Amino acid sequence: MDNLDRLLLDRLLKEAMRRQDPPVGFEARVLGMTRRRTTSWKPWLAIAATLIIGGGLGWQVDQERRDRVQGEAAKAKLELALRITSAKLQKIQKTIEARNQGI
Amino acid sequence: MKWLIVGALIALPLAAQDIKMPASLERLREKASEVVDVTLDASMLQLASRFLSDKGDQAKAKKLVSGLKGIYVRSFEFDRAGEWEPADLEPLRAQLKTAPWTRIVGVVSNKKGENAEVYIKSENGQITGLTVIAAEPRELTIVNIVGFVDPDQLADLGGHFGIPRLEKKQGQKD
Repeated sequence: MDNLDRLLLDRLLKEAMRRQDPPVGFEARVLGMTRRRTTSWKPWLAIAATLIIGGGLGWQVDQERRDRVQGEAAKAKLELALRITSAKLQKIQKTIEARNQGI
Repeated sequence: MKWLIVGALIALPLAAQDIKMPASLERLREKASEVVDVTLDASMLQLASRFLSDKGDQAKAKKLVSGLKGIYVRSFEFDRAGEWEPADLEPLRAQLKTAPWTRIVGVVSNKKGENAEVYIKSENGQITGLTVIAAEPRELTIVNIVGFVDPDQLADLGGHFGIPRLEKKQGQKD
């Protein structure tokens, strides 16, 4: 590379890297685009989050209600089974005791 | 060998049921005026136990249930005597005649036409099952309890759940 070429390259680089002011209205356009994007996705995100959280909570409440209903039904069945069993065993025991006493 | 494994896998759930309620009993549903059918397997017992309180009457039941794998009750009430026949109980008795089942109580009242039997299943010195057959002319009840049964705990349920306590006389043992 001779001196002439080097000077030409140097000039081209300086020209390319010269500080330039942005075109008129550039800042307003950028800010406008950002604002538009912000206003477009935030409400949807909020709605989606509300639906997900609300749905999750609703499902949990419903599941707990179902568990409680099933549990209470199982408890009632258990109490009935124990009542019948104990009553029958007591009756048998009473019969045996009565016989032992010669009644 | 393959069939042996398949057979064992099929037999496992049946073993959990302990004794099988015969079809002759299930047929009595049509004749009975009132039927009580309680089927509580291990998972249902666990669920029920979670809803029992840790205080008072329910705490005793909770303790009793903790060792159980299943409670099965069939109780039939009839409008008239003679709706069920002793032969209806034979398939059930046949299952209870073999080891490890032992009949510990047999009460027959020819006058009243009542018949009560208590069978226990014992393994390694522990009661792991209890079956009660209580037969009256107009009522037939079968109870099958699977799992570790503490007779003291079961008897202690007297006075709870609306069951009258059977008072023991002084000096009388269980």
